[in-house]
Amino acid sequence: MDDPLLRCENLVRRYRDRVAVAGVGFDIARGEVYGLLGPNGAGKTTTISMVAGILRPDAGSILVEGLPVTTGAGPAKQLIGLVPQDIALYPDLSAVENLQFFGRLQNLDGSRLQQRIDAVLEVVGLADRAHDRIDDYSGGMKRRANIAVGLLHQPHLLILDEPTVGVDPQSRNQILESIETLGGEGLSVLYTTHYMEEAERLCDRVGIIDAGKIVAEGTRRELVALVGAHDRVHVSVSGDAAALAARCRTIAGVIEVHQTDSRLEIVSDDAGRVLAPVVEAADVEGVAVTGVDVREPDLEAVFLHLTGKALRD
Amino acid sequence: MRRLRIVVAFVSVVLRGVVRDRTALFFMVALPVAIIVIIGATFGGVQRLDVGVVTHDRGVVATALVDTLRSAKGVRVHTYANLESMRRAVRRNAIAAGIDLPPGLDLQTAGSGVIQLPFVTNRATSGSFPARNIVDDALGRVGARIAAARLAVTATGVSFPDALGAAGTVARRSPGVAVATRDVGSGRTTTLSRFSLTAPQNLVLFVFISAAASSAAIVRMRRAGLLRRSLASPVSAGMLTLGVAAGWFAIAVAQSLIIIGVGALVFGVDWGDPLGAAVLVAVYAFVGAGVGLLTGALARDPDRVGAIAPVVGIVLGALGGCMIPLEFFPPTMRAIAHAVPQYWAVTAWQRLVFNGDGLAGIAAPVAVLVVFAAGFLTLATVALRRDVMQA
Repeated sequence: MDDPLLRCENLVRRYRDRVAVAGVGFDIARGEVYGLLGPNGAGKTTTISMVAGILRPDAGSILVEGLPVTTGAGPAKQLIGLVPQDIALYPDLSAVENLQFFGRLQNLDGSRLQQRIDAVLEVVGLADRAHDRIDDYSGGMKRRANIAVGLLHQPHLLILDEPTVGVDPQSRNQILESIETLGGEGLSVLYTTHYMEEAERLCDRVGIIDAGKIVAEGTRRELVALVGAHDRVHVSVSGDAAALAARCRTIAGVIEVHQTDSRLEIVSDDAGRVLAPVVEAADVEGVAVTGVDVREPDLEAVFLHLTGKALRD
Repeated sequence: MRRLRIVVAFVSVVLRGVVRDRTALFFMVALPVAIIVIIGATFGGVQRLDVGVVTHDRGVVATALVDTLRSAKGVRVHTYANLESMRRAVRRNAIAAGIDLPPGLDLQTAGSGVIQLPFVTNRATSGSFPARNIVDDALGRVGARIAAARLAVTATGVSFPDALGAAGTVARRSPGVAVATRDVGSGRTTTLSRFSLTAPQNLVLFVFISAAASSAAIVRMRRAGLLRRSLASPVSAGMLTLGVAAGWFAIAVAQSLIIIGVGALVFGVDWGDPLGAAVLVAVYAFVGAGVGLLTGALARDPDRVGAIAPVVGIVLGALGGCMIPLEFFPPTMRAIAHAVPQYWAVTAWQRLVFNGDGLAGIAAPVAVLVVFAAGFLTLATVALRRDVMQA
């Protein structure tokens, strides 16, 4: 990738004898939402901690906008916003007071700080509860306030570590919409989650990490192709199903067709491309289509294929 | 400038948290003041002394003794009909002590023999010793007049009552012997408030307890990931540690100033040389900050910290002389006490408050406190850095 916003190269981190991250490398482009998926203990949190400048890598390099990320007070940290998995806010203080504190750590002060506080509270939908104590917030509101702190100093890269854990569907949707909006406005996002549908919805690209290494990376479709998974179109018909199956096998893009009584399962690389020809074939054969169900292989299938089904602690 | 802003941000956020925590406020302000009042009022000394007298007749000697007692500053004289009723008053602590003036006292004193007067007191009470002094003083004054009257009776043949009355008149008219006192060195010249004994000890005790107990907040900050999140800002681990330490230093200084202010304004405690007191407060606040930071960096359960820290603080405080004066310690305990910072802080306050020493006089204990503070802060920095900078 030319001129990425974030470039991580060959990151290594050991804890005594255990290697938590063993040569992780990935790039994130400007405005790209990159999902980092992996089972528990795969090295996600360690990788994020290194990218956020909390943890020093034993080897490798991290550059944001070409600036090296260090654990010191270097300028690269001002380009990064971290939204940790925990609600890292002072519970006795209000949202505004929390934002004032973290804003000052980010070199913001005075009217500039106040403007940013107003703006981020608007983004996360907490403007009307700005002066309430965090303790008095619901779980979803705490999550949104947690995100507001990460956005406060207008970072170029936002790191979101499982930001929707334990929130109600409304708050979750609000959070995801906010991230989509921010991504659309050019903010780069490094996103970790255990919810595959979130990654599918938000992420332009996904890296799957296991045992401290990136085992696969790409768009959803690239990952699906990588593991050899295909779309499946299930068609219920009334009429000569065998004749329709035979005709469908001649359609370009169809890999194979399985027929069981009045049901056909059509395997294809791209269900959207073959759906119309299948309907036309049914028309030609005088078969009535009574139902269609398209199943695309999802990230969960890819994830389980790559990381296995064994339980992780 | 930026470092100062970060430190101020941490101090502000820590103090806000304390001010909004009623439990923390209780331990920081209300409890120390209450303890100072209770212990000061109980053991800090006596302001008014109640003394009893059994007067079987109204002779000149008895009258002279009662008048002399009544003229003593801070003494209230209660008269009783018989010795038994006065004993009961002593047992009830209604009076600190009493003296029985038997019938025919004038006649007895006119002779040359020794007269014995029953004196009743309860030595377990704090007023017993001062009451004995007051009565001794009164007997000494009247005794001088009796001696003069006896001499006059022998020399002139006047009656003893007339001679005793004349001796009293002469004593009142004679100019007293002027005794000039001059203090040398930096000795204290003012009378200490009754609370002066306990207020410094309680300051040392409670600043330590508050610093250790409030470190539960640091454990919560660690567990919530607040420190890690702060480290994701353009802030180094060193600045982060400095900021948190500054917050706990501010708590210790604020609590010290509250106790000193209330002690001085409400209870009349003289805290001694201002410069020495300021240095001692600052150094001991660093000790408190170090203890708070170290406890907060090492502990895992904030509730346990809140429960255990006050107990540990009380034990160390007792060992350091915060409850019983160090002078009462046996040699072995006194040697062990050197191992706790409270001992050095109490010693320094004693020198400031009781001896009237200045900064030079407390240099040695302050130097030891500096070593304690440096040790605690260094260990805390290492522990906190290790905790925060791991995934």
